[in-house]
Amino acid sequence: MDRIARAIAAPLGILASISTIVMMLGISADVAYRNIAGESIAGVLELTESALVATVFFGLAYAGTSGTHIAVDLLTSRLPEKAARGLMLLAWVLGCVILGWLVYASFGQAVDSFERNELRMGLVSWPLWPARWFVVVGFAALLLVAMVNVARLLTGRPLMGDPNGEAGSGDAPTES
Amino acid sequence: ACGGGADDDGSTELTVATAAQPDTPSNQVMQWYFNQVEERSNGQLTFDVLPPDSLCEADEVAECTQDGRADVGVSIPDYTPQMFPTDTVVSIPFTADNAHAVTQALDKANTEHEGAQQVWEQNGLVPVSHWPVGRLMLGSPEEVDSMADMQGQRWRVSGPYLQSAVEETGGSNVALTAPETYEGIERGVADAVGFAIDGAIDYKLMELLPYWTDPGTGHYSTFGMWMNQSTYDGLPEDMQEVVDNAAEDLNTGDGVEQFAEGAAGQCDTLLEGEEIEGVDRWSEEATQEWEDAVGDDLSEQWTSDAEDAGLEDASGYLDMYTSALEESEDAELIEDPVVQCIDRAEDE
Amino acid sequence: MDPNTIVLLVVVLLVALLAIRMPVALALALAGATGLALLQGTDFATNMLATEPFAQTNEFTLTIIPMFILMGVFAVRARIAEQVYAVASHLLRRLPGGLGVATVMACAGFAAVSGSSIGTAATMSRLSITEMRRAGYPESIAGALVAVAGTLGVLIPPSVFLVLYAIMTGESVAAMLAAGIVPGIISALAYATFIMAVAPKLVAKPGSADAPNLDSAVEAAAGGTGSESTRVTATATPTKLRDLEMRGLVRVALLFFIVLGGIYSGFFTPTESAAMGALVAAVMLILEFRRQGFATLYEKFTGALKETAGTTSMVFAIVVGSAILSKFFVTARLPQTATSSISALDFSPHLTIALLLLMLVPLGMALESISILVISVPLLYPIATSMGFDGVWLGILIVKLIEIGMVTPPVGINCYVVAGTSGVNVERIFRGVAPFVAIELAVVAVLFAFPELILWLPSLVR
Ligand code: NA
Ligand code: NA
Repeated sequence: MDRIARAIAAPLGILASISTIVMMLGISADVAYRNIAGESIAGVLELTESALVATVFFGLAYAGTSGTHIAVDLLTSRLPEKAARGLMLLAWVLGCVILGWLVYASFGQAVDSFERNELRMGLVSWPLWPARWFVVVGFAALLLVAMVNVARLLTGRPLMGDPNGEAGSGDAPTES
Repeated sequence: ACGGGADDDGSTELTVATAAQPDTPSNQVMQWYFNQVEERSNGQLTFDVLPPDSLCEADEVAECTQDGRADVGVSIPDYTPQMFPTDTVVSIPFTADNAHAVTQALDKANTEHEGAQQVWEQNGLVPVSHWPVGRLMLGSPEEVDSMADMQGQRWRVSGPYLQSAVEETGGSNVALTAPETYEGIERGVADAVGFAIDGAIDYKLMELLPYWTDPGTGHYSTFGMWMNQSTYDGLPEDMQEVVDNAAEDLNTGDGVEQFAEGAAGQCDTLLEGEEIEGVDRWSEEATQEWEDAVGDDLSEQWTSDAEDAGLEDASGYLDMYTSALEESEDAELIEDPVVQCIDRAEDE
Repeated sequence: MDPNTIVLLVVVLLVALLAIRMPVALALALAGATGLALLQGTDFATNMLATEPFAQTNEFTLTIIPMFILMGVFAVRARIAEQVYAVASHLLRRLPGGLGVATVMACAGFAAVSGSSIGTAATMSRLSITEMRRAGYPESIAGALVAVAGTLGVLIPPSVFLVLYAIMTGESVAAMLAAGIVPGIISALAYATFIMAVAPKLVAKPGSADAPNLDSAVEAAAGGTGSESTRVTATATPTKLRDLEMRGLVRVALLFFIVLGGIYSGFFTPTESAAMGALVAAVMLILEFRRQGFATLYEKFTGALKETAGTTSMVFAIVVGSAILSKFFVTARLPQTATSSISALDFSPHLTIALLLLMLVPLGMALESISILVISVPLLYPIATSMGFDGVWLGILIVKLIEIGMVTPPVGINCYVVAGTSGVNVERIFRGVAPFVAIELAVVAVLFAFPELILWLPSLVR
């Protein structure tokens, strides 16, 4: 499952990166065109909105496997290793619950949007349903990462993307 | 109280999601309706209006009402044109001159046209009322009194049909979100705007644009009020009657009257604005010139867009709406706040 | 169940979820969804979960966040930050806390470009924290300084936030934007004064024994984000200015000139300025590494993009989670209940308004800023103006208090952004933030007591 999670997260990370560049180049091209030709390029505003959705949701699992998602260490680092591990297991099981719920909810939304051929009306009619699917794919991939983390906690291995290579023990405070 | 559940004393509180900011004319229309229903139902039906954009953002209000998170929704149908092909008809330029007639014609066409009924059924919404947000005004740095003056300017207007109409003048379109418009104009990203009078007032564009004029394109967008279908179905028959009767009054004059009353203060604000240099209207010839240039293309475009969005027999709907407009044109006229405002400006 | 009980339950649940180390975004979403389900049923909650993630991201003006993150990442990888800080620390070597003061000034300057505090924190964190660490600043203070000074982003125009407030309340946009400037400068001066006061005690001399794990921390910060450019000046501070690389300074000046100049001359909007800044920084990256071959450049580029995408996802995941929790608070009518119970106490107008404003601090602890603005302004504004208070004054105070919430635990999004972009542990940043919160509250008290500080400048434009 580890390998599957990485095999899914990595290309999604690349797609998220490409969307970032699309945003940058799209907006820049629009600025240039507007200052030369005096009008906006039809569809750029809508395109960059969809690109933002892509960056955010395709990047979710990548952020998950690279340890970018932030958790606060209020308690676990003060507990014995075993107790900390048990609590984190609970946290990631609950994480699977909310992610499963989000996948279910956004799936219904995406199907509905596709069937209605949902559009956004600006200078062009821009289809919104692809971006709705980005949300589903992003949550599903993060759900997979969460499931891997549950499996890792059960088998005593560190979380995905844990920089310390050691689950349950946050970095020891180093300042006086 | 969602889904119209009754409280212990038999009264029902309906949750309202709205996009109308307090102290705007549309808020007054909405409040009038709620007060009427509360009164006529002897307090059996009450409304809990949540702050604008809090429960659901403006472009989500329709969906929130559809799925029952809100019992009643008040927002601009053009934000989600796919759900409201029957309402986007107002945005065809040069078709809707009189707010009273538009409100009445939309009510008639939405309730009587078969395709429209199907759309509402699919949406799971009961239309209560739709009223125009106000005549389109052009705000600009220099005086704009004809198509020729619009040429070469960069315009911020909303909606695909108005944007096409702008292109006919030789002007160009700049895409800016409404909250960004102020800074966009201030820095010169766009030169001029087309907006209802609240663009000048609420979005403060009168601070930046000294000339405001009515080009004669008429109304271009509406506010809509809808009730969740199962909420409505769950009301006792006498309460449904109360809701319907108050809606009928809203649609046959009271709504537009409330709107005009709420908008009267906006005229004072506009005319007293320190930066304001001119508030006027185009000559009939100038308006005619633009209307001729636009031709019938946009009606045809609307028909095909509306069919795509699931409105069957869209051209039949357009005919029904247009003839209802013509019928109501002759009805007792409620003076349009923008027309009144320009008359006042020209008298001064 | 009674709504107040559910609210209490949800708050307890949120704290518990955070305590067992659930990722913040998921904890917020789960707490909010559970509350919605208890209050209105699971269908209602599912509908919120279906719409919010998309609604909170599919918005053109929000592209500013990834674009400013990208600009910062490019600039760091083009070694701009390193070069600028080498010059700055040389010039400021005699001033206690000089580098901290320079960071505050840079944040204020950047705030004049960026309309969002997340964007400001993200950019400046990437540019300054590693360098401050190398100069001997504890990472808690360095991280907190950037997180807090990042809040200047919404106070100093351009500001998405102030414009939104003006539109919601009908105040003049121009007046609102002007009103942010003086409080922004006062806040910046307060942060700078604090840094100068504590620097002699807290900041170790580079290489001295007082900085035991400095190098490892610098390496962790650099390694966590994939930067490998930080070895050049770490060991010795050159003694002569002319030995230093000046092109970083030139490039930063150019970046500011293009972005600021572009906004104020109308070439692009503040939202677009972020993308233009990123583009210019990308060109600078190419120039810096043009001789090292395509492979190096490609690696620098893709690394920057991946880092940006990861941080953007993290930030927006928290925004989405916070929005879901905020929908729960709205559905439970919490803001109305709190407002009406404070108003019912019948205190003097000043005390009532002070209490209502302070209510924003706990809200700010659990929610993201736009959510708070949307739910609090419609409640506070009519009360305050009916008591005769100025709406512009109120707006600035609301923004100041909401921004305090952006740096306080558990949901201090600026701190998360700084942690995410710099690799510093977030708990340590929260620890460093504590004294700044006291300073912020003092600034708010001064602005509350002397409304002229806020209202003088707008009185000139009105
Ligand atoms: Na700013
Ligand atoms: Na907070």
